[in-house]
Amino acid sequence: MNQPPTPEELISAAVDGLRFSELTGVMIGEEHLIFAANDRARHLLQLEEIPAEGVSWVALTPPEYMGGDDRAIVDAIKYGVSGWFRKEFVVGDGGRIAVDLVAIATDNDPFRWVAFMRQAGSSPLPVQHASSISGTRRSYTTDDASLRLARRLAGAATLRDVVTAVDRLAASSLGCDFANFALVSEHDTLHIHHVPSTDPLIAERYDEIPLDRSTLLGESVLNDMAAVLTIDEFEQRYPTLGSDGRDMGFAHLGAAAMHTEDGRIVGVVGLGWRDAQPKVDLDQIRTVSDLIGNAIDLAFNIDLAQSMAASFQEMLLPARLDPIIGGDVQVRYRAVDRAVGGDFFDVVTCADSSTWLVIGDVVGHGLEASRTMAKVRFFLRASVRNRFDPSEVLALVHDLLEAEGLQELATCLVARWDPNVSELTVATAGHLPPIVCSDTCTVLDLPVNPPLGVPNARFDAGNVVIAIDRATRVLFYTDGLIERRDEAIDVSIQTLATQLQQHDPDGQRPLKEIADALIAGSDSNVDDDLALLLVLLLPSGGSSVPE
Amino acid sequence: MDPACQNDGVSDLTNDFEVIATADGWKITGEIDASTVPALTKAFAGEHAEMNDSGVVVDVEGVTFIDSSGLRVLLDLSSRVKPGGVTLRAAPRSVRRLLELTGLSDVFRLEDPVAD
Repeated sequence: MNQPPTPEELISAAVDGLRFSELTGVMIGEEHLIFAANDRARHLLQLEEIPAEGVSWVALTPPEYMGGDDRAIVDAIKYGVSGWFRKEFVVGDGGRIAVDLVAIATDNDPFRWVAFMRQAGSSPLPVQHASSISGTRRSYTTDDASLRLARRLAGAATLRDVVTAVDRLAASSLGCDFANFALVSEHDTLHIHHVPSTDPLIAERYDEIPLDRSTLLGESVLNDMAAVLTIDEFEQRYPTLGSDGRDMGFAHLGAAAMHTEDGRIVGVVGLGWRDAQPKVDLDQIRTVSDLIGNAIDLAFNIDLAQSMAASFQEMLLPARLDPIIGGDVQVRYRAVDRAVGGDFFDVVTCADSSTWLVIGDVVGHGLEASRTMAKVRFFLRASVRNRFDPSEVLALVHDLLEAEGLQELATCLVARWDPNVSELTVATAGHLPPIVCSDTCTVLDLPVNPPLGVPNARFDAGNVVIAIDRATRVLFYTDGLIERRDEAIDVSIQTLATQLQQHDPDGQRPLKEIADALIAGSDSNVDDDLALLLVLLLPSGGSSVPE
Repeated sequence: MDPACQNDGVSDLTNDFEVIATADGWKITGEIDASTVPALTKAFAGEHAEMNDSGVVVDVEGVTFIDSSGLRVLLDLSSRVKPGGVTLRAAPRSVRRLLELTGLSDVFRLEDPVAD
């Protein structure tokens, strides 16, 4: 048998990839209405329920903060992002809460934005208010082409959007005939981003050139500069480039380093003029370069956030369920508002043919609950392969969570199906009892441990062992399937047992149909996540799985 | 709901939730769920913060519903007021049953209503 993982190994396996910044909320606005807000933001503002007509940003904002909001909106329109600023919101009970916000414009007509916020704490704002940012940036020129470019860049969510904006608008906004940009790669080369108007010759010859001072592009990055040269000056200064620029008809060539909001250089804009006496405005070139750099940075961050969210989502629930030897399983899962929920399940079959069935519920919704849920599931996955007893597994997972200093609570039920001896062993940590159906459906009476994460809790309630001597269906579920405020919880559970019996009166109905019927019969208005695991267990040498 | 307790509390008009400070702790009425937990948390963070050794008493006679987020707040309170702990006074059958089902009966002390 393999060495069991140490608690440290389990913890680091679970924590890996689960680091989150202190960002707490995302609000999405169209004009002045908040149509959607995530759980953390709502919780922060004590808006547990968003009224159907939406919530007015104006109503949430004390009058003295309206001016600051206006400045942020102006900056978001001009630069695509407002810079972090601090304000107060009126919260649910009429009090106020100080928050740090950054607003990002996603569309200018109609104006749409996304705001990330965090509760104002002792740590300083990542970037000062937009009014001080504008002191370090060039004032924006509001001629039509530049404004269109700025709007297009503000709405850019992907690198492709940035490329499209640059291709269509950058050259005209700067009065030049050619505008392109190159990004500094991690290998210290310059990666030319093709725009449709890029000359294929340039793309082929200059893509992945080394980042050094032998080219105007490289020198602009390394010396943090913006420059426009005549073609004669250019050829004299960068002799290794030959006469490509002249051959393409350019009389002037220019470049400017692109900065992000926080001053990093991400790349360089390259420019060309055919006009012998062009009107060149270096300040405007710098401004436009920084707009592009900022849009690229945002696009990268959005890409990163999306890929992080996607990989996080994948970790939350099993991508596939292990097959059950001597049985079958169906799962159903529903999260409130299609947000990531706190309910979880798992099915793990081990080398000894035993299958572990897990269901649980982390208190609350949203990212925090999801993070705890992912940890519990990882800990369980790692633990079951090295333990033989569901009760021991729960105790170990609890210890691991406690060592982690986790603040959340989770109810959890763990069952081990051993097809070799046709036994199901069950232990619970504060989770609702399963319903077991052989001839009739009954609620399993079992000793209860406290939920995982209760400080100093003892896990000594032990297991219940059920001998499976005929085809048996077992339903594991979370309270979203039964929660009814107007009746006692035992009545709700008994009602579920009766429904299960009615959905499968002769024990022959396929599991899939029963699971669908249970979901269809559940109250979709219940404001809770829902998970169910319906298992068919067959004694060894018993009948086959009904089709 | 006890009409004597309708004043001076943190209240939520949507479900008649109310929590008021008493001599030895708090008295809660109404439903404890995600919508009322913030108010409850706020109340618990205030008065009685010093928490003497005899612990605090939370009168839950008027609680008509409590979900897991409500239990979480009570547990948080319990971990703050050790060693005296939290006594739940006059817990209705539904609250007691939820404590049993979630394995939390031993975490709180349960006390019958105060005799008038």
